[in-house]
This record gives sequence, C-alpha cells and structure tokens, in this order.
Amino acid sequence: MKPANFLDIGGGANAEVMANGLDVILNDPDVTSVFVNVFGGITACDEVANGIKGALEILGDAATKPLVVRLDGNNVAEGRRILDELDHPLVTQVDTMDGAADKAAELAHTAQGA
Amino acid sequence: MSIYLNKDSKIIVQGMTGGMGSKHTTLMLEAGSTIVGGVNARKAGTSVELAGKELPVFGTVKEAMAETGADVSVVFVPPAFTKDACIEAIDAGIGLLVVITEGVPVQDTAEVWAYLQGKSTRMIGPNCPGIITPEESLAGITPHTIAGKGPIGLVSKSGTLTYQMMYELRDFGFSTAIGIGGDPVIGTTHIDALEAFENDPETEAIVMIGEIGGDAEERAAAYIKEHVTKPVVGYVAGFTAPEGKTMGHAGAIVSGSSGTAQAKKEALEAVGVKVGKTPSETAALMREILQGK
Repeated sequence: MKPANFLDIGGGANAEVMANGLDVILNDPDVTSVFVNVFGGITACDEVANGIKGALEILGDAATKPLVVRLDGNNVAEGRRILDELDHPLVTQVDTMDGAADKAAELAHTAQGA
Repeated sequence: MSIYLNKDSKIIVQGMTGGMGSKHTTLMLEAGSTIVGGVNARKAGTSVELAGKELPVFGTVKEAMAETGADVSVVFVPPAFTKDACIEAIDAGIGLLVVITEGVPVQDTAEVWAYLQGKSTRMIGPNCPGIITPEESLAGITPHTIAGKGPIGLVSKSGTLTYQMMYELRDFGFSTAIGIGGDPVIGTTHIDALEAFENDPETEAIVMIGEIGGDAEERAAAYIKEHVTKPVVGYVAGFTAPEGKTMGHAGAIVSGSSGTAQAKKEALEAVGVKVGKTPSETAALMREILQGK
C-alpha cells in the first residue's frame, strides 16, 4: 500500500487550516481513506479536532471517505474528547501511529475492493 | 551532563508577549525551564504573568542579559522580523539562540548564518521545535511529558518525528533531544549535534533522523565514519516521495537522483549506521543496542 499524496498542515495549524487541508485531500479522486497523524508540539490537537469537525459539517453527506485519526502531544486530551463527542461514523481514532497507519491502509484496501 | 542546554540555563523569550510566545513560555515553565524574562521593544518596562510567574519585559536582548544573566534566547517573533531579532541576540553575545519561527525567508537566514561566523553564538533552527534536556530544561516547543532523562541523544530535522521517536523510546529516556529544523539553511547541523553527543559522557547512543533533500545525511555519514565511536541508528523520512515536489519542509525535495531517501539510507548504512524503515523499526534497532550493552 502506498500513499496517494501527502499534506503537511504546518506548525501551529488552526482549525481553518485543518479544514482546508481535509477539503483538498477529500477531493482527490485517488484517495480512498485518510490518515490524519498529529503529534502536536506547536500544533494543538483540539484545533486539529475542531478542523475535522468543521470540515465534516461543511461537507455533510458529500463526505464518504473514512478518516483514521491519531492525535498525541499538545492538548491531546481535549482533541480526543472533541472527536469522541462528535462520534462521526466516518471517523476512527487510533492511539498509536503504526496502529492508525495499519487501520487507514486496511480501510483503503476495503474501499478499493468494493 | 547533556548538550547545549541544562538546568542552569537561563532563558529569555523574544516575542514572549505574542500569542505563540506566551503560550509556549507557559509550557516551558511547566517543563521546569528557568525563564527569566522576555524582549519586546514596545512593551519594555512592563511585565507578564505566566504560569504564576511574573516575567519582566525588556527593550533589548542586551538589557535582558545584563539584568538577568540570561544565556539562552528562544525566538517566537514573526518571520519578517526574525532576521533582526537574531542579529540583535548575536550582537548581545547570547550563547544559545533557538529560532522556532517557521517561514523565515531563506535569504534572511543566509544573512544570519553569515553573520554568525566567528561569533560566540550557537543557533538552532529556524523552523524547528528547539531543544530539550528532559527533567532539566526546555527551550522550544517539544512536549516535555513525552519522555524523561536517559542515555539516548537525538538529533532530527523534523519536529513531529522528534516527538514520535521520544515516545517510542520513552522507557529509556534522553540526554538531550534537538530538532535542527527542515529549512535549506540552518544553524546547528546533524554533524554539530553528533560531535556534541560523542563528547557528552551521559549520551550512550545516538538517534539521527534525516529526510529527503540536500546532502546533510551523506555528510553526517562521512563524519560518523571518522569521528563517532558511539552507536548511531538512523531514520530517513520520504521513501515514497516523488521527484521535484517539496514535502512539508522547504529543504525536503528530491532533485533528479540526488537527495533521495534511498541514497541517504545507503550512505548511512555504508558507515555502520543501522537505518529503520519506519520510526518504530528505528526505535527497535536502538532498543537492541541499549539492551545489548
């Protein structure tokens, strides 16, 4: 399994940057599943989570691709809480990078086979 | 021991009164750093309370150093003002200058780099997470809760991979972890950090994280062959990177056949550095070395 693309949200990304980034990735026809991997230093996990939430709200039913999210570091508890509360059927949270990468690859495989 | 930063380091923050500056000054204080003040010419003479500590704001780095005995400065000022902030700190004779700011024009950094030659200041960055000596001091933005003190020295171009590697090896701990930044022109290099770790009695083994672009990893490999006796494991980010695309960091670009992850991996392996295919495999290689000691 190889990545379709790569997008760096940059240091200190806010919710808007995160939402715009997801918009770009989700509109790529080669993408079948999305892996969001953040170990926040200057980037705050709650901003990332709010960006995911915002992007999914804007997209509504147009969002069909699964998102596997791994958050750690700066404000991780709040970031995970926001996504737990969102409880969106497309969003899966995984605690470790390797575990999340495996899950994203598995979902991409399933989508390609479908 | 540690390298470049320890419990006696006295830190000032250029840009402490800004949003990022005040937030991360608070986190540095929580990490146990000795922060002695900030610099902002327009707010000189005022003070800011962060994490329950009253911090004076000085008009210049020189004044801040004279009043507090500071020997480290962390720079959070916006990109357009970073060059001037660095030159001011170098002129004041600061020992360690840690430049966190992302997006500094390369020409500005090149001018600062040239200005540094022959001066007493060591610069780390720009566009980097800074440096942490766990349980002693943090000058930068690395989360201090990831890992404690230990025998591993870490030098990395990437902030996130610094945190990831610290997390993977948190049961061993780190002497010092430095993020040198992913810009094309930087202050402290892999080679500088390797030399310092080689000379640091507390560091038993070294993790070196590189990425596509430039030839810093190849030059580090040549240095390791001649000068480093401690075990080194490596990781190179970007094996699946396409040619000609900048990948996140300004300096991370494969041009033709040069700067590829494969070439860097081979250069490191040729001098006996074990290179992992993923961060977790790299951590496993380090684990084997430390458990075999």
